[in-house]
Amino acid sequence: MSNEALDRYLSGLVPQNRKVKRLARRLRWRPETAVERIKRALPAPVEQQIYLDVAADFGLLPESMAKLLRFFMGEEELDAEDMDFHSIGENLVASKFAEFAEFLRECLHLLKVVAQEYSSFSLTIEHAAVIVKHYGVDEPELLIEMIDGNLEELCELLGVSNERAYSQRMRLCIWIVVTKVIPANKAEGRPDILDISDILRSDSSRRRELRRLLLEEVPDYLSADSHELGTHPSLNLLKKTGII
Amino acid sequence: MDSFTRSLKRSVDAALGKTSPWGKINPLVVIGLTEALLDLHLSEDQMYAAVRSYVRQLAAQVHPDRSPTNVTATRQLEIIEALNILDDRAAFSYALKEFRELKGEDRKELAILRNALSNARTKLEGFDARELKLAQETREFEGHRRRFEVDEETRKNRVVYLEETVENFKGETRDLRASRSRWKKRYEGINEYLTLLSSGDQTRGGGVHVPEARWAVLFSLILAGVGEKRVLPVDKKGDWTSDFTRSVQDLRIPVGTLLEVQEQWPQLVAKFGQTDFTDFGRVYKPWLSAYKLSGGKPELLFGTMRAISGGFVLGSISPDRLKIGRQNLTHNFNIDQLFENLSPNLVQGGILVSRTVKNVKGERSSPKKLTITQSRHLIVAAG
Repeated sequence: MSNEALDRYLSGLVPQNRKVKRLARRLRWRPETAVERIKRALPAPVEQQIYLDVAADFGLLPESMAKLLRFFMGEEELDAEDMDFHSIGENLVASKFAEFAEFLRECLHLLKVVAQEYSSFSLTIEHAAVIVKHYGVDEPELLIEMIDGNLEELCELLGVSNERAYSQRMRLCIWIVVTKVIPANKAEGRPDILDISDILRSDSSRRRELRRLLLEEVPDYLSADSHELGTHPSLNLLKKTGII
Repeated sequence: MDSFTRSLKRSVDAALGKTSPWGKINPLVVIGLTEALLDLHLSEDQMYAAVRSYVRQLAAQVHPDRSPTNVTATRQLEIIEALNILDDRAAFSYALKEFRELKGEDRKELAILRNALSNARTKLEGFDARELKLAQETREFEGHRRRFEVDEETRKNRVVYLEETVENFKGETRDLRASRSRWKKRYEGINEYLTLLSSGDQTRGGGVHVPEARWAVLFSLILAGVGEKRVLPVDKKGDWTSDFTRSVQDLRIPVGTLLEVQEQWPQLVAKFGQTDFTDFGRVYKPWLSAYKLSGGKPELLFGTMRAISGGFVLGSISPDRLKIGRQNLTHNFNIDQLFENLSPNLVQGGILVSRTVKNVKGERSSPKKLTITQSRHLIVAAG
């Protein structure tokens, strides 16, 4: 095998690839396991290479990368053609790869900032993706800061006791903002919230609606004991998808 | 294209076996073109021709055969490599796309909107801060206003209170001035009385000086049904009764004077009490009383004790000073009028003034507690 062919081989998704080795070491996996997990989560070679390039530095699971990719691309996969730039106007070029790379960079940046600033809770990949999609490169971490700064008022508005653990309250508030408030704003043609006071000053009917949504979807998560959590359907979903 | 995307792309391209004909730096950047090239509105062919011409000239300028002194060997090599790449139409097209991506970042509308959004957010933060400050200042102002209103209300009440107080003081001052005037007149009257009393001057006002007077005949209106049986001084014919003449014989009253009194009696009765008259439901009857006086101390000779019930005769109020009416025989003089007009002489036709420690019923009260100044008996004659 020529040196060029060997280099090609070693830069592919093989256990001998030094990026794979580095990732496996970071995630405490065997390289073969890492290769298997990556292949299962990211079938497209371009996506695999993108993952290999960033995963070791951020400790990102292949499934998490898959979530980001599917969130951004839908069912479409990134392929070699998407790496090229296409003219979309006079002096304007674009590529799916560049757009995804920007999205990925911001998601990773947001996750990193939240992990550094707020050690007691972590932001989920899905929530980070939604926030970045709506706030782009416009300092999305400010949303988390605003929630943190107005946590007590927000909990009062949502009818959540402020005696609960900080991490629980933060997760709840981020969850309701990301999954309820932002989509509702989008559906009703309102701009994304720039200030958390937009929620705090909302009318009573909207407050009631938020409380209702919270009561409908979250009580198990908040009040469940360890047995309930252990048998929660979401765990089965995670096991089925191979995350656990 | 940011450094993250560029690095990622390069890495993925390498892994996929796609390598660009140049190294890390785009050849258009190597030859020093800026994004102004993109604003020339040239077609890609025109741009290719222009760039090719330019890069050829540049390469000729820095070619080693010309031995340029201001260009390093590395830079010479970069420019010649750029020439080789850009000479190829396909490679130029690829380089131009990348150049557009590299330089187009700042030109994107998104970037412009992002900047606008950032500015708007900064402004919003400023407005929020101002709103907060204004709200705080509004609260402070409301507090000041409330305090001011309370102060204003208190001040108004105080003004009303002070005005009332001033009015009260004015009224008191008026009363005091009037009182002072009264007391002054009273003082002057008493002073005059004492002066006349001590001087024994009978010329002023006429009459008999009280300390020297020996007798007095008084006309009175006495409440009917009170006291002793009424005794008249004259009979039906108009002559003195024997009781009267016997009572006053020791006084050695001149006959002319007695006749004068006898003539006055029916006139006085006609004037003040010809018939019984009623005043506020009381029935008064005319009386005539005769007293023996010694240094002002009276002794009843004829008539009723209630004319002068003990005490001392002080003097009289002359009809010259005050008009005497029927009212003065039923009520005492006002104390101020009395002291202002009191004379130590017993003037005929005047009102007798005496002090007593007995009341009208003749009952003696404690002299320390009650002294009565009586002034309701008309002097018919005195000597």
